[in-house]
Amino acid sequence: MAKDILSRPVQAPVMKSIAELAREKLRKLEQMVHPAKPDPGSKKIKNGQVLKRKQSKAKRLLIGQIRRLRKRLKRKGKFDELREIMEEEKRLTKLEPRTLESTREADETTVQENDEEVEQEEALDAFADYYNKLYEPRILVTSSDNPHKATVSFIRDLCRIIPNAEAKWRNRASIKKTVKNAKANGFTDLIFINEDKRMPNGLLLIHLPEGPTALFRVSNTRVGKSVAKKHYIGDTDHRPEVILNNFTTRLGRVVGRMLGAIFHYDPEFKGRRVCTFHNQRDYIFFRHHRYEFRNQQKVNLKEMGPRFTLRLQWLQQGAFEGDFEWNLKRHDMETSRRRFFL
Amino acid sequence: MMGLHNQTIKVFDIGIKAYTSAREIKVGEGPIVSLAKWNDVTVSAVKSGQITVWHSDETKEINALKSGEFLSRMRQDHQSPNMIATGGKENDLQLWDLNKPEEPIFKAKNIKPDMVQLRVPVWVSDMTFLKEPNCIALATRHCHVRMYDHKRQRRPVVNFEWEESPFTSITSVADKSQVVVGTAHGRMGCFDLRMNKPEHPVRIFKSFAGAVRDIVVHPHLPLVFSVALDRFLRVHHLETGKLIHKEYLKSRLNCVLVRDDFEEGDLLPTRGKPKRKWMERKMEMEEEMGYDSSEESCEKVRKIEDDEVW
Repeated sequence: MAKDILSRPVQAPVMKSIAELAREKLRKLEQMVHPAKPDPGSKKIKNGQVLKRKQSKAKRLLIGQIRRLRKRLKRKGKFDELREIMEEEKRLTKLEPRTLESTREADETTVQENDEEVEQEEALDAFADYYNKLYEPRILVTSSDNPHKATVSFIRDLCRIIPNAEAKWRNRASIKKTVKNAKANGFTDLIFINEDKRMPNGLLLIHLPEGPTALFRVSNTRVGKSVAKKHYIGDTDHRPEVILNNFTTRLGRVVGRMLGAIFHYDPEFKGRRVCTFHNQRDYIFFRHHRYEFRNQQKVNLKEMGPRFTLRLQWLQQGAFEGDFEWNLKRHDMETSRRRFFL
Repeated sequence: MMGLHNQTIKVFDIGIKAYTSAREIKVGEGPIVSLAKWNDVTVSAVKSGQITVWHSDETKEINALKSGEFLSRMRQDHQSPNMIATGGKENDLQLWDLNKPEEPIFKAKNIKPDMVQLRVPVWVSDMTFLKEPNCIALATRHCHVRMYDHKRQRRPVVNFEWEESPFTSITSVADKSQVVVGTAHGRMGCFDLRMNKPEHPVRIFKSFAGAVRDIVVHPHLPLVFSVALDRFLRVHHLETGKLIHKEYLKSRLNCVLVRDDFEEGDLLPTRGKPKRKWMERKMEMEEEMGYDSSEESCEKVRKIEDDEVW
């Protein structure tokens, strides 16, 4: 046996640089299953604890080796190669954070792009006229009887931010009669703010000419003045832009269109105002900002105006009458933490 | 055969999977509310109350709306196809014989005034003929379910209320005196009208988010097909009440028909895009009146002869 070893030609050991080694290992890691693979959605629960995702042992070893090589590079002072290795490492090892949004149960009703049927339906629905710029919205805002300070200031804020909105006292009028009279007077949308325990807690949005009705539960309202203490801008006349974020499902799309149709279709960009309805996990967050672009990449945002959160309770066809298109039934629907409807 | 909101009647052939004929009828005003077939002749009912029998040479008309606001439904008895029932808002149940279009055979009488001596309002949303002879079950939008026996008395034999949500549709379960009723808030219940306490539902079907628009019970399999405004078609098991199948169909659904020879094996599990051999293409409705809410979707169409005679 010694003869075999001695008879073999002597090969000079190939000294690879640290960076080369690191690169090789990264390539190996990449060939392994990509770390951003979507989670099958099951969490391992053991004794009530949720275990972390376990990576395979080989993978963990490789990642450790790469990390050690990277540290050696740093010690040796080879900063260029270090940067390169670090970027690669980060790209391959950074796992996508597992949040409720990223592990959301796939909804069948999510609207795909270029969906013909959706477009056809939207060309004929109650808001087609608005989105074809055929009329200007005119809103009537009112509350339940005997509103208190918080509700009154909420109504005043709404009238300030929504162009062409009027506020009136309720005076014990019934909703159905108000709908009839508002139609006769040329209003296009009605908003009723409901109050409970001296705070606004509900928003009923009725689109007038036979349109859909939606009831939202309002929470977390903050008055404009308290949000924008230092730079509170009073009444501005410029019409705001509207951003509707994250309304992905079919139902979400209908609601998004409804909320967008309250504001005037032509925003005045000169005023640099923007109203955002951001949907996240079925809660719609409303924010009102004034923006200023410092350069192409950076924007300054100054928050003005009220802040509130909406949650859709039901959506009904017809102006406060008719069948329900969607109804939130908590026991039936809120069964999974990862299931959202908007 | 489908009736559209803008007063057109269209015929869709499942074999060819295309519309074979379309016809506009200009009767009264309002959308077509129901269609029926009698002796190869189409009968159409319009919201303003005119029921027209379209014979090839002449048309006979019945004015079903002598009182009340509008007509909401007309149903035909499958056992004796010359009998139709009509009902609407403030227009109680009326039974007509198509051979004698002048007067209804039976006109229902409203129940007695309630505790406060006020007249109970009537808004019939749907009716169905039961297997028992002479019996008709009715569902109203004021949350009543009623059963009438037109040989016995003019007032309903059975009358009860369920929940506070208006009823939108009712169907009878074959061979039993049971009915399945759907509400506007998305609940569906099966009631037995011959029991001691018919107001306790035998079974409640769940998982709806929107109003139940149309229900069909399969003649011999224990399946209930229902279609709702939340754009889903659902199949429940009649006996256990469990949801067997749920399918997303993109439009707000209005009607459903089931093929007579539908078997249980035809239900394939939904995975991916819905292209099933038993399911027909959904149809979008041509809207001229701008009512987006009533889009019709016909799947699993009952056997209709291809050569429709108008």
